[in-house]
Amino acid sequence: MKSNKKINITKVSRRSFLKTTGLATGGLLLQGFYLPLGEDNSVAQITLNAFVKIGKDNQVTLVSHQAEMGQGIRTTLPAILADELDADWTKVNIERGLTDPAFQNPKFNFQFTGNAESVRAFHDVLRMTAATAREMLKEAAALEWKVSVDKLSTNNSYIFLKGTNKKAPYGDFVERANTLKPPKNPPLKKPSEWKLVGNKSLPRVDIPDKVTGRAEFGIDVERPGMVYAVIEMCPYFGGKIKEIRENNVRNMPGFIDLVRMPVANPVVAYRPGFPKKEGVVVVAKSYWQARKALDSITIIYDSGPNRKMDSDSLYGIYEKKMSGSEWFETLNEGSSETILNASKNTHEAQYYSAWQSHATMEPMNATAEVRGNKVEVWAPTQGQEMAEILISQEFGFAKENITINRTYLGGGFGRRLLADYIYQAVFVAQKIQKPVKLLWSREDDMQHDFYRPGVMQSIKASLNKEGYPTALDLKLISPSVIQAATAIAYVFEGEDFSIIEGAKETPYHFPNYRMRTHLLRIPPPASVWRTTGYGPNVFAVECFIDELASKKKIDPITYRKKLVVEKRSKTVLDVVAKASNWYGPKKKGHYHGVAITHSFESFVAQVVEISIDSYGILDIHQITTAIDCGTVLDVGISKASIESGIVWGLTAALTSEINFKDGRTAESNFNDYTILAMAEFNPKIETVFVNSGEKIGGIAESGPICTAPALCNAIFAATGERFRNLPLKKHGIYTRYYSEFLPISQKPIKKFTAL
Amino acid sequence: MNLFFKKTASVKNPKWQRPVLLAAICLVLLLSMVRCKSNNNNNGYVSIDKKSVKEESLRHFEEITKVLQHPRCINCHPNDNYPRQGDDMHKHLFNVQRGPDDRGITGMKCTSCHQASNNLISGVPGAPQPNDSLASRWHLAPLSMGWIGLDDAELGARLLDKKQNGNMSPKDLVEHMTDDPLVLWAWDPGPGREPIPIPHDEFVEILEKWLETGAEVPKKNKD
Amino acid sequence: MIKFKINGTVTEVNDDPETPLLWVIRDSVGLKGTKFGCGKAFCGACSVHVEDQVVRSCSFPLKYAAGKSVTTIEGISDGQELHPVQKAWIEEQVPQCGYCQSGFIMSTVKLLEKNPNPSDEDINNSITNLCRCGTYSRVRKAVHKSAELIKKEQN
Repeated sequence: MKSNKKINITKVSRRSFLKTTGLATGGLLLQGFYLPLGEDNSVAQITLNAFVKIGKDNQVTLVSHQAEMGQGIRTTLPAILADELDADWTKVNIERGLTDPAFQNPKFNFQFTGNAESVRAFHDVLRMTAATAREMLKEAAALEWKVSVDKLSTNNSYIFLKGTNKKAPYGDFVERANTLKPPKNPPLKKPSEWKLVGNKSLPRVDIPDKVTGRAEFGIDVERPGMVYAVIEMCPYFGGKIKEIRENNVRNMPGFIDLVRMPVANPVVAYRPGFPKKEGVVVVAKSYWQARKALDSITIIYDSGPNRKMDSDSLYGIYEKKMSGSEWFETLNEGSSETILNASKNTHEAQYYSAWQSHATMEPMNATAEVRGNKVEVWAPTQGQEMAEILISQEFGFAKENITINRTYLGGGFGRRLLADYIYQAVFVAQKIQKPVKLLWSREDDMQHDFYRPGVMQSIKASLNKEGYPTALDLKLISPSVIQAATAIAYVFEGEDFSIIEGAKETPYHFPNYRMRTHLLRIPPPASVWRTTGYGPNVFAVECFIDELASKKKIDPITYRKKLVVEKRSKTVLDVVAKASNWYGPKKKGHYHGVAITHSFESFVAQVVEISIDSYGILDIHQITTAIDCGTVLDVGISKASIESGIVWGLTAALTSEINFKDGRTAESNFNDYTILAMAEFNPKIETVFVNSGEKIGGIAESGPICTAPALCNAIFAATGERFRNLPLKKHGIYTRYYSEFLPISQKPIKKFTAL
Repeated sequence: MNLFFKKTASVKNPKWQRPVLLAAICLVLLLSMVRCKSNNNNNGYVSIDKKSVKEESLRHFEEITKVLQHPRCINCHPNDNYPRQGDDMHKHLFNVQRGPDDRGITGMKCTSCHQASNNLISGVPGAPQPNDSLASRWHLAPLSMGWIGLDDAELGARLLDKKQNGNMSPKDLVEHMTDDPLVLWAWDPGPGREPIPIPHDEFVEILEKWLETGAEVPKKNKD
Repeated sequence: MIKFKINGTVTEVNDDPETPLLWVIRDSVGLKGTKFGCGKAFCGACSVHVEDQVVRSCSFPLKYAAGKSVTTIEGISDGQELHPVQKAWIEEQVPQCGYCQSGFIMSTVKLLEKNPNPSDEDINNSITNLCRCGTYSRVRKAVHKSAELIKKEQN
């Protein structure tokens, strides 16, 4: 693709924050979306543009440039293309895109997969390019058949002459089409004409290979002559390697080399507040030999200046900062301070969401091969361009000499935006001049994650006589989560655009609203995590709104409906109320809780129905979601995404938590970083899509956002008690299943006398 | 938590029970004298020797129960369908259950994870069959041999009851505790697990003495 | 050299007898469908069948496989025709990232061989694999669907 030159370029609107993130270079930002064939005309397959290739044999190849990590994007994006192109879906090839400016998200001018961006960022571009290709093929056919274009129609990769039996495959016209000028404004299909997407369900193209074991993940990559590397990184934040006792490692079976890595986490090592991490790598003929050899080494650490840091001391910092005076004013509309000071009727609450690990099922890994001045990487990555930038920056490879091949991802959730593990593989490959696969253990993965940090909010509101807020003050404390994912050295000050999501802008209008942020600089590295800032912030805001409603005993949905600004918010509230039977008679002992969000350009309302006993043992009966993402493109895939998002949200709400002890991460594997098990998840799941026809919004991260607040609000409805500190296991609230496996010393105690 | 150093009897019996306990012991002794009388026909009293032998046997059994009640042993002698894990004796994570043959449920057999030796890499413990070092012996004791929650008397009664213990004589029991690789595992449980705190040969010695002294077990208070 | 059968074919490998079967299957035999998730027998991503039993291969030293018959995800279907469990998995569109799914499928195959009609509780007891994406509700549906398909095929 790199040999192709761009001939059609569009101007990209620039978001203001890009000027400050360092992602953008000066001057005009250009985005190519139409890349015709290169100089070399001899190839049989003709590239019509970056996303669509049509061979003379009528083989249509669609390029899926976004990483498939379970969200179904390898199906939905090509389906948009095929739909507009009128290609035969059953015969298309789907190919993975490499790194290319054409694949940059136009909003960020950056190629990555995440932030529930794939469909909302690319839908229009894909339709436009497919329509361009289709119209050019028709034009070529019109010339060939000497008829006017409007006499032609297209279907299943064929062109038809209307009113006759004449038809011919697209492949017959590709050569001629390539000589034509692309039309400026090709007609787009109306949603009612869509065949593959739009309130329909396609079987996912990646699933057959995922049930036979054929799907290739990063861990499965093999290269001729490949060797295996494992790494041990200093587990202490800010610690150092004091001594390496090699012992007998050089005589261990299969041993090839031992490589010291002065900086194993370059994505954050050069930023203030983040200590660099040293690593020791052992290379061997097989993974297992490498692992055994590494185990035979004794590494003595200097646990460094943070050796006394633990969860409690860290939490203490949050609390101290919360009562302190160092704030960045994120927002100050109206006269919140004056009104709050004057009001006698106020309500105040503080919330905390714990640190979380991504814990992708596939541990971090990458395969790299260095040949002369070229480097090739195979990796399960969400951040292809990030990897390219990092490799070029750290090793001096020219960008055109860097190839990043993306495999399937065994989970992404934001972790794989970063390229630390790719950097490590390239480092080793360059050092030993052999293709190498570097693979972390689960323990490495949990210890060396870039966590969703702990986030604390304190919210205060003054209320009018009717119980509705007249002014609001929200204070937010969080480390930066987007810092690690910014590719060029830029240091966020005061706030970053991700941590304020869901707090700065809510579905509500508060005429007097002040929000202050304290960007914490603490040792554990943080980054984005499925739900980004919305997760913790919507938890705080939606619990708080519920508290306000309950003060005057106003129905939580009625209360919210009065406060929300947009009609779409009201609609999802109405829809979820109906689908969850909110106003109908409830089963004995069953209670509802609701939460709403406007996130990733989608509107979501969720109701959780539970029962809970006096010991805090929880049964979750039903979770109902109403979502307006504009137009749902694939109902099946989107439903699956919401279902799985609920599990993600419940895991963080109920049980999972990263703790720190003695200056390092305390959890090491799935026995202590507990994620929801199938046995404790069997509620009825109802998901209703509201197709408003508005701009397409994100789905993949929308499922989990409302789950924690809706659950906590349901627990309040049942018990009259508020729980503002997640996960709920800290309060002795467990699923029935989980409670079975607790040590006797932690057995649930009677805590709800009201029940 | 170290159960071995815990005086189980005094912990389990609240103070008000002590006089009852004493009375019960006296009664037991009295009854046994009566029985001895009828059996041995030796003029109506039991010799000091015999009484002290019995006391000695009970003392040995007290030592033995400390081992039997240790998490390394009792975790696989639950009184329900869940094996236990760890010194805190929590139910085995990931919903591991007894199953119809004390060897787990389809898909989650003991031997799905536990092999014939301790796995020093994954940390999963294991033990071999007596006559096949490559075959895993990991399994739960039958429900009838569930001990969790039992006091010494209940444990003793259950232990000696042939209907419940798989038709084992005291001698068979001693052999099981001397030779069974799964029992021996408790002395070599792998890194990160506390072994039984007294050496196995000392334990065997105690077992043998217990056997020699009549394999006595304490009787239930109200007997 | 240790000899065992894998998916019906006799194989001989030269690995250290203590090597977890997982790495032998993946790197020596070259079958990549069996995945490494936790290395501690917690998550089940590495589940295979050894003889008649589901085994978490990350915690199963090669030496114990000697002379035994091992089946992996690649071996449950015979070439063209998928195993009914795989068909059900496609029908219910279960996998998301897909990484853990081989393990779920291997556990399900064995469960249904022994218990052709599992209740939700049977499923909870037998299939304790972990999935981070959160596909549980579809896994559950697909297990029931598999049972149906197997019955249909037998009739």
